[in-house]
Amino acid sequence: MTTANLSVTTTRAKRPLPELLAQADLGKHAFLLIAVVLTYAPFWIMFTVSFKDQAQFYHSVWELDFPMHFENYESASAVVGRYIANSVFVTVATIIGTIVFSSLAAFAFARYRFPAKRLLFWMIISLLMVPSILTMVPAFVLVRQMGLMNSHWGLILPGIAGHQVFAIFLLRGYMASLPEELFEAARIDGASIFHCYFHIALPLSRPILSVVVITTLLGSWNDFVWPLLIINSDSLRTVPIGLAFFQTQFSTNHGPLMAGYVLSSLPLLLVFVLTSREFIRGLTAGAVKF
Amino acid sequence: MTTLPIASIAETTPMRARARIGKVWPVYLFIVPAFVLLCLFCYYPFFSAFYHSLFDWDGVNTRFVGLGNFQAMLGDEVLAASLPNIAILTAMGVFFAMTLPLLAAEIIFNLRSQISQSVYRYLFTIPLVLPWVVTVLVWRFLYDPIDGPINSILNAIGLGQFARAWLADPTVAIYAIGMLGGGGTGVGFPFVAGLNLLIYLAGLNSISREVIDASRLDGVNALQRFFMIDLPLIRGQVRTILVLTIITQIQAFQTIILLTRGGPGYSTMVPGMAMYQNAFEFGRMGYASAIGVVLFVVMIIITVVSLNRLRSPVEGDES
Repeated sequence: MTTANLSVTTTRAKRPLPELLAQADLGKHAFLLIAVVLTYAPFWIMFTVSFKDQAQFYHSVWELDFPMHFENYESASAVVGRYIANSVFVTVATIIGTIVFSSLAAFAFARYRFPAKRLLFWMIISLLMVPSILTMVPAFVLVRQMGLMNSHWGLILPGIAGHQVFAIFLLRGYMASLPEELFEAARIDGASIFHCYFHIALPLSRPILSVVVITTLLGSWNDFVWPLLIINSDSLRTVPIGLAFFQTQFSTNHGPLMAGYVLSSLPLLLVFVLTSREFIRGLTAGAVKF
Repeated sequence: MTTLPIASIAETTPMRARARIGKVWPVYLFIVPAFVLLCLFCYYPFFSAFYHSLFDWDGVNTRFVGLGNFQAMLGDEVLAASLPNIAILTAMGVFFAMTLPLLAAEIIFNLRSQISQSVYRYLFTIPLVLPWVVTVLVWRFLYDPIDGPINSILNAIGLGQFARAWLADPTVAIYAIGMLGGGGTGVGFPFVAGLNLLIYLAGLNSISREVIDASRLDGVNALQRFFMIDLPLIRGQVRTILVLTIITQIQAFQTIILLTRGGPGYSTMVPGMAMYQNAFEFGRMGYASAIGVVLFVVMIIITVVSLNRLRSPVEGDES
């Protein structure tokens, strides 16, 4: 009896510490923190090196050295600023075009019945299975024939065409789930189709439109192979191809090179910080498309 | 409606349909802009690729060769060299996508504090927000044989004999590319950050609380719960990631263009890179189209097979 009692009390006395440890999820945090450190190590090196001159670089890449060389950012921005401006223009134009074209089509497919509707919708959706690697060569020849080589429109128009497929798919599902009564009431009041689209469907679809914006933004901002084919002059280069060539200009000087990488990362980081919830949703939704 | 005799329905339907078309024809105006762009930049190139795969084509002149391009692919030593590489990159991609991100997602999902869960999710998402090119170029710098931190670390800890020109040594270059996510837009070592983690987490978060509470009451341990409850319930996400990873790796070559262009020799050559070079460096656009057609067919087969094979045994339980 007494021994049993004793053991109960000792376990009771001992319990708090392991239990507290378990409560704090220490092992889990340890694993995740190691993963965080390893994930960020390359980007941390990019950050520190961006402030270094060559001597500091050869001293160590792991910590910030003083004095910090902010002039790296000056020489980098002289080159990268142009690429960022180009990317912003191309991406914003692609997003606007994608939103306008895809929401119009999605609205028609979601809210109206018309002959050949199913066939036409199936024709759009089946494009989700067509990889860009198949269409790249003929699309390049077409764009060359259209005289859009070395122009931003050679990026924007095919960009809209490609991005609107998934956007129509997402938007149609969302617009079809809107309650019919809203449209019915507007129609009885004599509202036109366009009125129903612009004043009812579009405002109500804002949550899914933000997902479309994010997926288009990421795809357009990161596009590499297509701009590499279309754009020749340095003044028209977007960030991805600009950086690929930028590397050769500062081949032996790592500081300005890394400063350029940091600068080109800022626009998307800013968007992410401002819209992180929609951003994560857009990322996950975008993954489902092939 | 139900009380109407069948004959009267048959009479009214065409009239109604006609009336509706008369009223809703402006609807077609809504889909015209989308279809104009699709026809130009999606449908036309799609059919053009199939058509020109039967031709000698430099972008201007065409000469019919029948299946000659496909025959030439069989004897193409560059393509032959690319097959083991694509197998290595795909195997590495699938292995990395199926292990560490899943483990990390399970651990994050099991954290007690909601705030910690969000913080980790946030931290592991940021690398996705950095431009893909920046990630790859930073990795190129890490791999640099003279100035790169990887070789410096190896030298510092006395493993200098392993230091090498990671991207220029034909025996290791393909693995070096596999480590930073293969040809596509993955996030490199330690592979936790990235889309896969977000997809797994979304799946885990959709498991109903009751299932997990019930398992806890039954005294199921963490390992049992992972294999017998969580994993079967996120089968849809696992399948999605598997198919996505394979399909991405089969067609991707952005990283290869940026880092090695298929070299040294053909040690990092992949089919997409071969297609790119044939089309835009050698002017063999018909042959490149044929490579594109074969890749497309392979991808369709893989998609269909894996969707059928991995179909969930429980009906109505799709992803």
